[in-house]
Amino acid sequence: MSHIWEQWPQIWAGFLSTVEFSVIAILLGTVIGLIAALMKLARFAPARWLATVYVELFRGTPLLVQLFFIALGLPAVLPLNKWFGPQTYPLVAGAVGLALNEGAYITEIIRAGILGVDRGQWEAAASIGMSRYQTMRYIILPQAFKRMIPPLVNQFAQTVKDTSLLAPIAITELVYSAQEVISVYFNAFSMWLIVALMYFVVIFLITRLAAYLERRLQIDKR
Amino acid sequence: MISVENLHKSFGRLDVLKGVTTHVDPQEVVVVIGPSGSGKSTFLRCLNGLETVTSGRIVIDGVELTDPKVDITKLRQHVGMVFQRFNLFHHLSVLDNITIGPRKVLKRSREESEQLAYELLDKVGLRDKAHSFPDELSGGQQQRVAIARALAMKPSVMLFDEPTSALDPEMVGEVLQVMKDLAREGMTMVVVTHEMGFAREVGDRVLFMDGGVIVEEGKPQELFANPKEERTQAFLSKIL
Repeated sequence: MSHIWEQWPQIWAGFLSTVEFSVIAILLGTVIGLIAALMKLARFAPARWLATVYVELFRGTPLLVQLFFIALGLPAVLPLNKWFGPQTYPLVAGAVGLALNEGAYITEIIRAGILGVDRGQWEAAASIGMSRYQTMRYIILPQAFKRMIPPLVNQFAQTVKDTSLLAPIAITELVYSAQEVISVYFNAFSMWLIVALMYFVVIFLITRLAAYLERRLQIDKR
Repeated sequence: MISVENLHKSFGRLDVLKGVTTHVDPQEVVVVIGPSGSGKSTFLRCLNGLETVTSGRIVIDGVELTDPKVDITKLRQHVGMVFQRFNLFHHLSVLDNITIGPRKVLKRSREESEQLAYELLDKVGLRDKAHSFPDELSGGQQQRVAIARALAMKPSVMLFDEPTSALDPEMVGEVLQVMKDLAREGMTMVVVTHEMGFAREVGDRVLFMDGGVIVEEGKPQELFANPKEERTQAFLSKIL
């Protein structure tokens, strides 16, 4: 087992990279998802169409294919490596690809959450003269948010797992680092066990945090 | 105050309103009665633009609501509405339910809005519930808060859409009392209700609707005592 401690810095760096990509994909994906959800509910038809095409494209194709396409396909026709730098572009492609994919699922979660709020709330807000924007901001989203928490947390946990698909586009996250270590030390059993545990801890923390949030919102705001 | 000319409303191929013409004078309390499906709620909802009108004209306070150029959001600030199912904002305290309109729509300060909210809570007898949440209140209390929420916008007319129909019988009285007080203060009101006692006591005029039109209208005493139309007679004999 001693060689694991020798290789610990490499595993730890891979782990941190996984966490970084997770955080970026979750934050960016949520922003994208919120925008796309609002577009899907907009009165302006082209906005609805655009958001629908986006969601269907990213839900209808495998994440791995999306990552290959953005990281390796696009640079074949666009000078992306030159614009971003050949070291940086794969990282950008990985983060953006993940965020776009998560965003598509989050779009549907947020949309369902908004539609789940009783119509009477819209009408009451309208009856005191609120605009559509004010209604959304002050009345609908705060109530929709609560019912979105469980499915959003599921999606965030999925996002953390999905970062493992960055390994095939040569981003040195946790899986990639583990593969490198194993190729030198042939310690497949202990290494994959540790990797699994590390994912588990992160996801467990996320679900605990969500349970806590849900409880708090229940007490403060019934 | 309100004038309605030849109002038509269809949902798809279903004609709900088939030419409603009436008017409401300032400080008048108009009570709309009629069997379910008569179009009375739809009529009320047209008056603040919750339903888009198929054809006809509605003018409120000199503003033509049916004019597509009119900012309906702005107009709604002058037209308060109370719903059958209260529709209080579940995530906000009683106080915030009342202040959110003045604060966010009228851009009043929090202090000013809260002062107004407490005055209104006194009026509806719920000052001690300011920091409760809607789900902690009884139906009657929720409806009184909903009335206070509408009044906080200082509307020139209040619309009530069957405000007591979702209440347990013992809570109907407290809501009607608030509405009576409001009528006595001179608020212009249009009330859709099944409470004939309220119509008789507070109403200046009763409209009887059936089949998407106003079948008969008149002072409550006359209409209840001597209904002229057969349909009015049939309806009243069933409920009185």
